[in-house]
Amino acid sequence: MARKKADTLRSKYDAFLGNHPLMGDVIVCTSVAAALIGLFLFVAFSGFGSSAEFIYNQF
Amino acid sequence: MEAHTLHRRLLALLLGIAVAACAVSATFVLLPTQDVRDQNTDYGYVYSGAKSSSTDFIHANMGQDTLLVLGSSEFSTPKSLVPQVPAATFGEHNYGKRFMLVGEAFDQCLWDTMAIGAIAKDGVPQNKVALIIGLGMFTDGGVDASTFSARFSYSLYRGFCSNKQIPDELRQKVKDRLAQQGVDTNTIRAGAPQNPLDAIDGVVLGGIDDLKIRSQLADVRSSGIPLANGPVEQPDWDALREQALQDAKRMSTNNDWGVEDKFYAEGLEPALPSLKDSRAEETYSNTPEYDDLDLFLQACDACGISPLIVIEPTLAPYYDYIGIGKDKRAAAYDRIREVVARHPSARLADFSDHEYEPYYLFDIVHFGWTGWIDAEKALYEFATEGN
Repeated sequence: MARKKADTLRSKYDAFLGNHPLMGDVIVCTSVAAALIGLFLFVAFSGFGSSAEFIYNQF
Repeated sequence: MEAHTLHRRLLALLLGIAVAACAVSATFVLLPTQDVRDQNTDYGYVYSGAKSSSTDFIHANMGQDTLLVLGSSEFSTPKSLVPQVPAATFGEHNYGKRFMLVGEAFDQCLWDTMAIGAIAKDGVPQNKVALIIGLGMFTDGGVDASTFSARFSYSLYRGFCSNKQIPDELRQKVKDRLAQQGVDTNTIRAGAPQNPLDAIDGVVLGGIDDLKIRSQLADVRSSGIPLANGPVEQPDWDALREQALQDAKRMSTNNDWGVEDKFYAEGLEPALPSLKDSRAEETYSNTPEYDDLDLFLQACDACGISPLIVIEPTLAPYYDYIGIGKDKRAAAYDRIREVVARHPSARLADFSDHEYEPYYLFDIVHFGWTGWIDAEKALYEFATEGN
């Protein structure tokens, strides 16, 4: 059942790309750009690894 | 997939990379550089890790009347809690001297060594620096790796490494200590590149650190206070201390130790029953911090900077209660004095004999009302000496 559903989705996807040949390129381009920008924003601005708040029990 | 489709997808991938590169470049262009400042604003008293890691911002906001003061969590005390903090005493009056406070909670002597090496690369006003230290920095085992890595600044490390006044031997000692503290080998090598790969690592790490600092400096720029520009006054230390005592008596009413009411009621009193002799094993001896203090003083010597080491006391009745007795603390203070005494250019402002004085600290380890006034007086006299 699940296999059949996946096949249906795949055929719909292939048919869509067949009718809109540029969309595959657009998807690749935006996915790569979004992934790289997302990674950059996380590393540069997420605050991951930023300094800890002062806590009294450290002393 | 057909060949021409594959080529198109490859081009799309490259275009995606190019778009991302443009977005990253735009971020670099749009964020103000680290040295941007408002001429009429004093940022010296802003408590910030980003400010403390930016030598460009620090230099842009120091003049010849500025004393560079390194420290840690004591700089986080707000004026609402202790009206005598430097931001009030010196930030709101023109005493002819200003302080540039650099450091954040958990910044210890190894961090300070890198900081002074990086900042001194472009000169320090009057070739003077003050460093505030307390026994909390000298606990057994030293600062743990995760805490240290959270405060490690690649920019300061790179600045330290590129300061030609720092001898190779000292540079290597700092690298060895960083490795002990868990800083990864690639980062250590990138600070002083030996090959093209190290250099590439350095460019990437430096670029990311630069962007982080530039984005975080936005908060610092909105937290400055108007520059005190009135006629130069002479501080009346007796009057300031008397006022500090009055403020302390008003803000410390529910305990005999002379600490701030809310801290005692919410932070200390509920925990006291479980704290009796809880730290009896502490010796203040098994730590690399004394050697790190020596590294800091070596860096000052190498850069021709005269340091003033300010010893902040601890709240003696509390430390007696938790099992770290007077003898242990006295031995630790002695060891600090011995390290400082090895460096003829270094001076001490030792307030350890105020451990039992109420109101000197507002909590267990940080200067309070009268404590800050005494420390500021020492800093002011150090800054004005020889002028």
